[in-house]
This record gives sequence, structure tokens and C-alpha cells, in this order.
Amino acid sequence: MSWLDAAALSWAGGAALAWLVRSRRSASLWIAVLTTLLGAAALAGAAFQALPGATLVREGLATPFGPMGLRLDPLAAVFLVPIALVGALGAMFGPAYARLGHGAPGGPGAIAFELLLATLALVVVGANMVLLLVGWELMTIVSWCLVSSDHRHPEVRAAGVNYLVAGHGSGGALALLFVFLAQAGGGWSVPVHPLSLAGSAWPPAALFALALVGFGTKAAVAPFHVWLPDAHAAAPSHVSALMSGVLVTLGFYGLVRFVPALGPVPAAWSMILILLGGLGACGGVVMALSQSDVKRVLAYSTVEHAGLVTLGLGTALLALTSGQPLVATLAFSAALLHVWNHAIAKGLLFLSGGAIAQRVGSRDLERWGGLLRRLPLLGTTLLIGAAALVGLPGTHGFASEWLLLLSLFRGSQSLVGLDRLAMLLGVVAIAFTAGTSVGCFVRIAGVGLLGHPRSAAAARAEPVRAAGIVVPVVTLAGACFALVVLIRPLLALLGPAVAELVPGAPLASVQRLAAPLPWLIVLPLAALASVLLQRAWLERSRPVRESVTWDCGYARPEPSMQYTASSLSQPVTRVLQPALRSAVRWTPPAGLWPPAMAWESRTPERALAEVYRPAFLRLAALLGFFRRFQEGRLVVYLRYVGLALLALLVWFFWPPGMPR
Amino acid sequence: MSSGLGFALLLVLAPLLPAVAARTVAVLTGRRGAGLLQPYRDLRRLLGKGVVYGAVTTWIFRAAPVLWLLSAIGAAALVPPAGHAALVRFPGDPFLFTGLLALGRFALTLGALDTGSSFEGMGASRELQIGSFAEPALFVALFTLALATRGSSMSELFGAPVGAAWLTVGASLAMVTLSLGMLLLAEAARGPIDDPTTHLELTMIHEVMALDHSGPDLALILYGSAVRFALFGALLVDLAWPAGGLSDLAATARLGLGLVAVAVLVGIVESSMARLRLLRIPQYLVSAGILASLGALLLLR
Repeated sequence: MSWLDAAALSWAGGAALAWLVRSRRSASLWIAVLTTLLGAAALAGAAFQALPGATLVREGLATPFGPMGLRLDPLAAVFLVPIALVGALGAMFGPAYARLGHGAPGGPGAIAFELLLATLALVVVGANMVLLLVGWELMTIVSWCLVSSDHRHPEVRAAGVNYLVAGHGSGGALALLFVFLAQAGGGWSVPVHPLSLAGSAWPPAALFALALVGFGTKAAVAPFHVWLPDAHAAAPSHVSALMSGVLVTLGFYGLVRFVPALGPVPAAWSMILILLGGLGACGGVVMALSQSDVKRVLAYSTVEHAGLVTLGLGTALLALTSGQPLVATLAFSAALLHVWNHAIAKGLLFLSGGAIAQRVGSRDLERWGGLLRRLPLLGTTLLIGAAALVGLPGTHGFASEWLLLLSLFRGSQSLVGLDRLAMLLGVVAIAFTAGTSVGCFVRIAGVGLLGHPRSAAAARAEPVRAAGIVVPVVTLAGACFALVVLIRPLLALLGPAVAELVPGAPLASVQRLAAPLPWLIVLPLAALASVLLQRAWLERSRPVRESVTWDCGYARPEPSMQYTASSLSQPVTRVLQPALRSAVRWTPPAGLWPPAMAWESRTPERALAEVYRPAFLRLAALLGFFRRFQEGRLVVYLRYVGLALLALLVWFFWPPGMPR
Repeated sequence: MSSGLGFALLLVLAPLLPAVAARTVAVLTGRRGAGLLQPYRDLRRLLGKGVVYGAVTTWIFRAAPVLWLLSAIGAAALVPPAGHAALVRFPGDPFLFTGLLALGRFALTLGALDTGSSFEGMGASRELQIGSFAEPALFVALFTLALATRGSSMSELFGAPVGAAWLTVGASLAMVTLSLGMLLLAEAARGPIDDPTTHLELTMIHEVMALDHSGPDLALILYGSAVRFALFGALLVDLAWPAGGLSDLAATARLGLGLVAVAVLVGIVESSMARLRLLRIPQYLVSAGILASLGALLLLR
């Protein structure tokens, strides 16, 4: 029995068993969580079997759409690893998280989580386009169930509907794409080599557009990302972690599989990917900077990182077309490594941030504050995740941004003409993103964890000791540093996957270039040693006192006098108002003894409110005409079926030679 | 070994530069000014003092000065002194350089927010704005230099190939040099962006973030800021006064003289123009970025 079978058996069997005993709450929960862990371990086994360069193929049931087989090659295995890691840690986290919110952890949530892992894995290993589409739709539906867990709140239901619409839009585009691909003569198997689209009724550009909409919607590529912030904020935190770190990356899996399969990629497509990537990265980080809901900040940061991966993919394809294998290898390694790095760092942030939010009872940064003192462990892991996601040197997040920038610089030196301008644009986008994301995460950590508590709940927050929370966050935080040392083995693991896209990839050169990176672990170690030494020296050699914060001579500083999250980012968001257009509600002080004043700003997703919603409403009005055919009575539908049958009969048996 | 010598010179000379700039301002405004060794005396005095910590602060506040200084020293190790290779160099090290600068900013602003003081929050807020807009300008400047010298490490971007590049693509290099000069003023918290001598907290950017640090911690921050000034100064010297194949002594002398000249220039700029309104800072930094981009576009023709 292969690892994949074991994972499928464990997940399907576990979910079924847990459902059967659902009346016994804790037994059901335990079964679901344990089988999820077992299945994740088996999935990791399968992934690490395939990563070094093996391809596992399983012929499946023969159907009119070809065999429903599975295929696991190194590229697919890259995307299985985050499913196994974040899935296992999320399953551990889920019940403890529910208890933090003083709710009883239920079996159904854990079962849905388990099924979601199975559908995610199915999307990655499905070798048939119909099977992939089935997995894709199941993934959307199961994750929608999880997003809508808290369906008592109307905003959660609205987020769920948005998500479902986006998911089906994406599925619809993919169904079209797959039909056209099969029609062009490639059959129904998921392409692993460039197809010849000579028989295609549609131009390749149209197929690219379909792939971009279909996969890009899931991957949160810039103009199609609008479902993401609401859905991530609404879902329970371990589900957000899985969606942000894993589900979104499956969109990239699709792009990486299908875009090169459409034949030699024209430079224009790569440019589109680079531009959309840059737009998503800059737009995501700026929107993240203007939200005060922690999970929305993290969600927009996912849009930002999705942009960076898209940028890397575009650069790789551009270099590939221009015959620059080293640049392509660097950029593609950067994109794949970033998928892993982002899954780990964002998983850590969602889990730590979510647990803290449960403790404080609010996701609003303005109601946090002073939490590093109250929750030292979760506060520290949140800080580590922030540093890793910003890509500060000494954390694992630095390596992928470093590779991406190196590929852009190398690309500017070896490409020609307009392509080099794309490199410049990419560098500007990454630089702005890097600079601004420092602000974005200083804002979460500085306003949320430091200073005075900003609410009574924050001042009373109790430390979290549940193993289900401590183990996942400590594991992920450790990975942020451990992977700095392991960067070369990691790149070697990614090598076969990179070579699938870049034939004859100069992997040895990448290894050589990455040789100095493991040494960066010196930075956190040196920092730790210096801080400890300095502490010891200060304590020994001089009086060390505690006193009130100086605050320019005012001896009674109040929590409300602190800089708020929105005031901290105001110098940047103010400059970008033409793009952000925040809605501000301002009650100015009036009279000699003003009783109250208030200032509130909100930065909603403009594209959703001003483009998508009106467009969909218009569409609904147009299609409303067809509603009158929906009677709701069985007899009417039977009449429709009869009429359709009659029409078909006439069409079939029309005498040849007569005009139709 | 000259790279070590240059690194040491950078660290030793660093506190001198603010003094030279201040002295220049003093002379130009008809005052005598403090002695050139005043920053060294200040550092020694601070290192001997006791420490007071705000009651709300955590380990972040205590670690921030150390990280601020360490990141600056780390970045200085990547700067090639006067035509010699830097102490640490590898292809792609410019991104480590920028990463270390970001790390310093991350630590210092978090330390400021840790005090819970509105004034320090204000400083952090302004510093983060500078970070958002200075980073693209810095990256584009590096990008342009990578195009001009076809190198990929700081030691190539700011090393011997620069001299040859001045003869072929001088216009681009001039734009990059000007842009880096503008960035120096922002990154080292000098006028017209910041005012290192102001006594009004509301007008401060960098100084206000150090308000609650005392004794040796304050010394670390002051010294770290001086090193940041010196390393941007050294990059400017490398660009504007390129050298190659100098002897150790000549290279050391050239770096020292160049740094002092940069400090004098900063003093002249500070005494000749009023401080920019805070709202103008993004425009200033974006213009630095556009200047560097023009340099890149000239090379991309």
C-alpha cells in the first residue's frame, strides 16, 4: 500500500467513523483529529518519496473522460508538503482554539477540516482534468462550510456567499479551460508537457485568460482577490491558516501546471503575470496597513505574498522564453520556496494571532496592547512570525525574497529590451512591499503586543497553556529559524520540481549562490548573545531602576494617549488616499467643554463594492428573466424534460436532405 | 588586510561625522560650536551612567538598542572601503544590506512603541513612513549600479568597476549618486528631513524614539545612528570618488577624507535650507527614487 492510499484511507475512514459516532462528542473529535494527523503523516511520506525526483502513477477507474488516475511528481509534491504540515498542526490547534473561545469543540468542524485536507490533496495529485475539477469544487464547498462556521453572524454569512461565488466563478472558468484543452486533442489527462494546441478552436491567449481567472481567483492574484479578506477574517483561525498558507497556493499549482502547458509562453503573458504580481504585492501591503482587524491585516498580507509568488512565476517564464535558464531557475526556486516559507510564517501568525484574539475577545488591534507581558509565549511567536514574514535576515523568510531579488537583478543584466523594464518594475514593487510590510508588522506587534493594554480584556488576558496551541506555534516558530540553516537541503529538495519547468536547470549554480545563506543564522544567535551579555553587564555594573515612562514630563500616561494602529500608519495611508479612499467618520469637539469626540476610519475593499458587486447585480437582473421558468412544481419540470426530449428526437430523426 | 582596516576605520570614525556636520553648521552660522571629539565624550559619559526603564516596557525595549547597533555594524561589514573588497561579500549581498537596515528599523520602532508613550509612537510612525518610501529608492539605486557595473555584490557595485563606469555611463552614475545623497539625509536622520538638534519633541523623528532610553542603551543608539551615517557616507565616497588598487594607507586616507567631506557637505545642506514639512518627506523620497529610476532608464535604452 502506498503512502497516498494510507492518507486517503485514514482521512476518508476517519471522517466516516467520526461522523458515525458524532453523538458522542469527544470520541468523535478524538477520532477525527487523530486520523487527520495520521493521514497528514502519510501524505508527508508520499511527498518526500516524490520530491527527490520520483513520479508515482496510479491508473484509476476507466471512464468516458479517460482513467481517473492519480499522479504524484516532484512539482505536485512541493504543494503537498504545506498541506501535511499546516493540516496536521491546524488539526491539533482546532479543538483547543474552540475551548479558548469558551465553546465546546465539535466533531463536525474537525471532520470538515479532515475532508478539506483530503480534497486539497486530491487537487494536487489528480491526473485527470475532470477529477481535478471535482476536487476543486469539493475543496470550495468544504472550505465554504468551514468559513461559515460562525454562521450566526451576518457578516460571516456574507463572506461565505462571496467566497462561494468566487469559488464557482473560478470553477466555471476551469471547466471551460479543461473542455477546450481536451477538445484541442490533448485528452483529459492533466498536462505535464507542453501541449500542441493546433486543433484548438480558441487561441492560446483565451486559454491563458481562462487559466488566469480560474486559478488566479483561488491564488488571490490581484484583481481576483476580493473574496479573500472577508473569508479569512470570518473563518476560525486554523482554517484561515490552512486557506491562506495552503489553499491559495493550489491556485499557483494550477498556474504552474497549465500555463507552461499551453505551449511556448509569449513574453506578454509573463509581463501580465509580473504586472499583476507587482500590483497585488503593493496593493495587498497597503490595504494590510489600513486595516485594524488583525485577521484582515494577515489576509491582505496573503494577497501581498501571492503577488510576490506571481511575480516570481512571471519572471521565471519570461527568462525561460528568452533562454536564460539561470534566471528562470532562480526565480522559480524563489517562487516555490516562497510558497513553503509563506505557509509556515502565515500559519504561525494566524495561529498565534487567532489564539490571542480568542483570549482578548476581539480581533481589533485597538483593543489589544500590552499582551507580550500577559501572553509571553504567544506574543513571542507572533513576533517571530512577523519578522519571518517581513523577510528580515536571520529568519527563513529572507531566503526566498533574496532569491527573487537576485533573479530580477540577474535578469536585468542578461535579458534584453523591454524585458529589463519588467525587472525594474518588479524590483520597485518588491522594495515598496518590503519597506511597507516592516511598518505593517511593527504595527501588529507594536500596537497589539506592546505598550499599555488598550482594553480591560487585554489587561486581564490569561496565559495560554493548552498543548494543542503551544505545540503548533512553537513548532512553526522553531521552523522559522531551523530552515535558515537547512536552506541548501531545502533548495536541493525543490530541485527536481524546478527542473520540471526549466529543462536542464543549473541547480548547482543555485546551490553555489545560496552557499552563504545558512550563515545568516549567526544573526539571531549573535543578537541573542549580545542582548544577554549586555543585560548581564548592565545588571552587574550599575543601578538599574524602573520608573514611569518619561513622556515629556507628563507623569500619568494613559493607555488612551498611546498612538493607535490607525494613527501609526497614517503618514503612509494618508499619502495613498487617492487609491485607498478610506471612509472617515469624525465627530469634532464642539463648545467650550466638549463632551465627546470620535474619529473612525474604515478602508473597505473598493474593487468589491464598486466593480464586482454592481457587475454581479447587473448580471442577476439580466438573468432574472429565466427565473420565471423556475416554477418549483414537479409537473412543470417534467413538462420541460418532455419538451427537451421531443426537441432532441426531432433533431436526431430529421430526414436527411431536408433543410433544418 | 585592508578590508578589515576599512571596516575598523568606519566604526572608529563614525561618531566624528555628526560632530563635523554640527561644527560646519556652527561655523556657517557664526558660532564656535562644540569640539570635534564631543560625541566620543558623550558616549563615554553615557556608558558610565545608570539605567532607568519605563515600567510598561518589556524585553523588546531592552533588546532594541543592541539590535539597532548590531544591524548597523553588520551592514557596515558589507560596505567596500575605497576600492577594496568589503569584509563580508557574496553575490546578492546588497539584499542583505537592505535587510539589515530594515531589521534596525524594525527593532528601533518596536522599542519605541514598547514605552506606550504617544511621543515615541509618533516617532515610530514617521520613521516607518520613511522606510516605506526610502526602500524603493535604495533598491532602484542598487539596481542601476548593478546595470552599470554588471556586478551583484556590494563590493562590485561600489568597488573598482565604478571608476570605469563613470567614463561610459556617467550621467546614470551622477543621478544615482545624487539619489543616494538624498537617501543619506533621510536614513541618517539629518536635515532637511530630520533635525538632530531640535529640542521640541513634536518636530523630532529619530531622536524622539530614543527619549526613554538612558545610559549605555542611549549610547548604543547614538553610536548605531552614527554608524548608519558613516556607512551611507562610505557608499557615497565609493561612488563619487572611485578608486582601485590603492595601497592600504592611501585607501584609508581616502576613506577618512571622503567621510569628513560628506559630513561637511551635510552640514552645509543643513545650514542652508529649512526643514521640510513632514508632508513633503514622501515627495522628497519619491523624487530620490525617480532620480535613480531615470539613471536606470538611461541604461535600459
